[in-house]
Parts: sequence; C-alpha cells; structure tokens
Amino acid sequence: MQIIENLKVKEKLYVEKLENGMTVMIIPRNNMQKKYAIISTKYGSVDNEFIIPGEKKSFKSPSGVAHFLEHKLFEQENGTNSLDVLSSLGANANAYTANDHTAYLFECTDNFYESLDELFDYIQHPYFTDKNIEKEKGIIAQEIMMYEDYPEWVVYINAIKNMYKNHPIRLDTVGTVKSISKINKEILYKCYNTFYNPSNMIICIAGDFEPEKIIKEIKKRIINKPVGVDAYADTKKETQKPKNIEVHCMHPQIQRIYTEEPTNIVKKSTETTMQVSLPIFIIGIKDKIENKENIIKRHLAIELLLNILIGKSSKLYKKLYDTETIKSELYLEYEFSDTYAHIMITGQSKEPKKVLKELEDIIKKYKEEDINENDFERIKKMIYGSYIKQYNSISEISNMFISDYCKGINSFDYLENFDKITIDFTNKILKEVFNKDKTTISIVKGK
Amino acid sequence: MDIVQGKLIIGLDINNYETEAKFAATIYNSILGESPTSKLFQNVREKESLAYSARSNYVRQKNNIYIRCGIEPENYEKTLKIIKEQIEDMKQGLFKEEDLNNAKKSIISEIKGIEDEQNLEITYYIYQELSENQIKFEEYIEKINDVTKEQVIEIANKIKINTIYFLSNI
Repeated sequence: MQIIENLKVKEKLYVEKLENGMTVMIIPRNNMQKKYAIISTKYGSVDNEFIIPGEKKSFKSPSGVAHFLEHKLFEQENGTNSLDVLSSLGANANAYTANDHTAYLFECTDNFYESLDELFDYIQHPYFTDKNIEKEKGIIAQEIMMYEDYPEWVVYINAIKNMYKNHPIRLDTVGTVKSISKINKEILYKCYNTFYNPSNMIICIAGDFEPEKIIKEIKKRIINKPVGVDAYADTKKETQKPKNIEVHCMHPQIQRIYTEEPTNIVKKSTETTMQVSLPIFIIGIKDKIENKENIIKRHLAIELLLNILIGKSSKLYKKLYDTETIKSELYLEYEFSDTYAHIMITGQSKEPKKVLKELEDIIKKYKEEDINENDFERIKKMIYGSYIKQYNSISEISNMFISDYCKGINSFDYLENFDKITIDFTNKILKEVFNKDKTTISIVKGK
Repeated sequence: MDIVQGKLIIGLDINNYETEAKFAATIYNSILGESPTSKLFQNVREKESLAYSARSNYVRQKNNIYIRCGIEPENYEKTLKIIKEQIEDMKQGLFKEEDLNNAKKSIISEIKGIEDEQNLEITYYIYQELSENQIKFEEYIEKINDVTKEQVIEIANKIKINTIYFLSNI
C-alpha cells in the first residue's frame, strides 16, 4: 500500500491497486462519527463513442446512457431497490453523473459494513429488464423537463454550445427524450460491461478506519470476474469472441473517441428568453488543453486571476455593485478534463453586456500594467484557505479526491503547488488565456 | 407560465404547537416524503413513474410541511389523487413499523453526524437558542427514539391541506 502524506493539512492518503485493477483510496480520520464511501467509474456523459478492448470497430451509444445506468443500477433482481435498503440501514445514499465520471456514494454513522455490502452488491449486479427500462424512461423524461425549465441550466448549456463545435460536452448530461427512447437492454449491458470493469473503477473511503482492515473488507466484497481482454467478453456476441488474444496487457484501456475540437469558439453571444425577473448570464472563455504536469498550476493561476479581476474584493466588483449593475457575487469557475477546458463567470445583471465590457477593459488594463502584488498575495491566501476548508468534511475530501483522480490528479498537489505560483507566471497566464476572441456570453432574459 | 414541466406544491398545516409534537412531526415527514423509502417517492415516482422529484420537507419554525413534485401537466389530477391517498393513509396508520424505524435511523444518523462538522454544529445551536428550547444531541436522539406509531398517527390527524398550487403552461 502506498502512503501519501501531506504535512500542510496533516492528512494521510492510503492508495492500493487491487489485483482486478480497482484503485482503493482511504483517508483515515480518527474520532469521527461519520463514515463515507464513494465508488466511481471513469464513464461520464461525454463518453458516447468508444472502442471496447479486443475489438476493432468503435461503438456509438445514444446520449444519456451513463446517467440512465446510474438510475438503473439501484434495482436488484430480487425486486428490492438498493436506495431503499441503504436508507433502511440509516445510510444517506445518492449517485451522480458528471461529464467524465459516474459515482455512487453513501454516508452513515452506523451499519457501515452492511451498507458497504449493499453498495458492492448493486454496483456489481446489474439487472435490466424491458419493463424496468421503460418505467425509468418516464422518470428520466421528467428529470429532463425539470432541467429545461431551469434558466441556470439553459444559460450553461448555451454557453457551452457557444464555445464547442463538436465536443460531446454540448450534449445534455441526462440525454434528450428522443435519445433515451433509443436505450434498450443490449445497450445498457454493453456500456455496463465496458465501463464498470474494476480496472476502470475507483473507491474512496473516509472516516475512523484502519486502512489495512478496509482493504480486506473490500476484497471480501469483490466478485471474481475475468481480467484482461476476457473481461470484455460479455460485451460481444458469442460468435465475435476473439479467438487469438493479441492484447496481453493485464488491464487494457478503453479507447474513447471524440471528434476533433477546433481551438476557436463557435459564437460570440446567445440570448434566450425565459421566465426570469433579472437576466442571468455566463461569460465563457475557451482554453487550450494543458498537459498533466502543468494543469494544477494553470488552474490555480486562473482561479487567482478571476478573483483579482472580478472577485468580491476587486475594484471592478465594487464598481458594478455600486452602480447596481450586479446585485450579488459572481460564481467563478475553471472547468476542465482531458478533452476540454474553459472559464465560466456566472451571475445576474440587468445589463450583462456591460459586465462583459467592463471585464474586457480591466483585462486589457492588467495586461498592460501587470497585476498588483498586494492583490496577488491577498487572493492567494484567500484561495489557499478555501482549499484547506475542504478538508473539514469527509464527504468533501472524498468527492474531491475522486473527481481529481478521474482527471489524473492527486488533490494534495493543489496544496503543494501554491508556493510555485509566482506573480510572473500569473501575468503570463493572464496574457495567454484571457483573450477576447476566445470569449463568449450566454444570456437568459425575461420576456 | 411558459414552462415545460408542471410544478405541484401542496402546503400542509400542522395544527399542534406543542414542543413535544415536533419530534413526531419530524418522523411523520420522513415517512411521508423525505427519504427514498417514503410514501411519496415510492408511489408517485417508483410505482407510477409520474415524477423525478416527489418529496416533502418540514419547516419546524412555521409548523408547515411542503410537498413538491414536477409532473406532466396532464397528470395533475392523477398525481393529486395519489398524494391525497398517502396523506389519508398516514391518518389511518397505514404504514409499517419498519417505516417508523427507518425514519428514526436516518434522523438519528443525521444528528450524530452534526458534531463532525463545525458549521453544522454551530447552526444547530443557534436554532436551539432561537427556539428557546435547549436540548442536547443525546436527548434529541432519545426523544426521536421514543416516538410511537400512535403519536405519528395522532399528529397525522392534526395535519390539514392549506394550499394546493399548480404552476403550468396551460
């Protein structure tokens, strides 16, 4: 077992790769009542085209399958629903589908091992029937319509569509009523057998535990499945089973296919009308895909810059607030994976385009004069504090480690990289990333 | 309003203002619509596939419970009928001992976890202060554990629908 210690937050992370390829992460926390477990597959809403190991041709699925699977896995062959079972154990259980991963989790104070039994049981035993699939289509159709009525969702997806021409991030996470109507048993089993392979999965557990004991408990709950190319035999029809296995790798990789995405944006602005009292907007800035070694530094510098430029202690924020152009704090974010990266500034304003103009002016000014050293040091401390605060809650720590892991990142590295961010580097990133021709605005306004 | 999905909200009054009744009301709400095993989740969503979200929440300070779900506008009558049946079932005591125990477990687990996080703990105490009713975690857990099925039925019979509000594009 590998032990990674971080002296800044005095936390230890235990990592072990099991024989079947599953990664286990354990964060021991003494004297805590709460216990948390989250298991995740690197399969999200953008993974709609892929090559199954051992096959030559790619498979294209309708959008919304990852999310559909998330709903359906809870249903068990004996007629029970695992969400009910976990809740009757006193555990608070849930699941979510992100762009690049799907996760199943529970938090509890008692009955941890019974809950872990249930979690491993339903993750490893899919049970799809024509009838239970049809029932779920009705529920998910209502979920889709719920999102269609959220101005926050519409403004988000429009901003994404303004930035991306081909990338599947353009598609709704939950799919469309039309795309989910095409989902059937065969598709669900094929995607399940491909992506819910242990070598594509990771589990993170936090709470008052002995790491060695947890590893043993996890091993007890794993069912034996073939490894290597054989693991994917279930995804193929009888006659297509490969006779000569050419791939000798223990855990072959699933190849995900994305159409090439241009670096340019698609559209400068979009406006939609919905029932809102004050217009909402997202300013998006498309970024290039940074490599793994540099992505954390880039992410931190961008977070710093967003707060220096338009964060709640900035001069621009005060100006916009005093003139009643904005009424509350803006939400600043850098969203990225292996295949996309962009900045998003979300807020409400009676004049969204004025906010954009003011932002562009301040960017221009700082590019000419460089950012102020006092602002830089102050914001750096503020952001460092927000990273430290995440370690307060076992669920936040675990979720952070899981979602960073799916991006190939160890969350501790954020804390270690703070010292490496210089003002020169931050100025360089400002000039490189905050460009007018990569900037778009999406607005949802009232009628 | 120009929206795709219909939103149904039902406001319930709890006509019992005794402090002790709040523990039974917390459990009533959990069985009716808070958890995945709740009557609303099971009957409106899982059995009939009418909604994605179908749940209730209890606002202790106001003595109200709010039921909310998002549905096809044409399913309004059907959904309302099912919800009213659940409220009626609660009055008749048509819920299992198991439902009562599940509700207790989930509420107690939540209380036990409060001490793990400072923001939860501090919020707990400010509400205690505001309600002028200081009670410690252990006592809280005990009170929840002591609630009987009869007490839940009793509170169910003091609950009345105040408002039914349906927002749709029709």
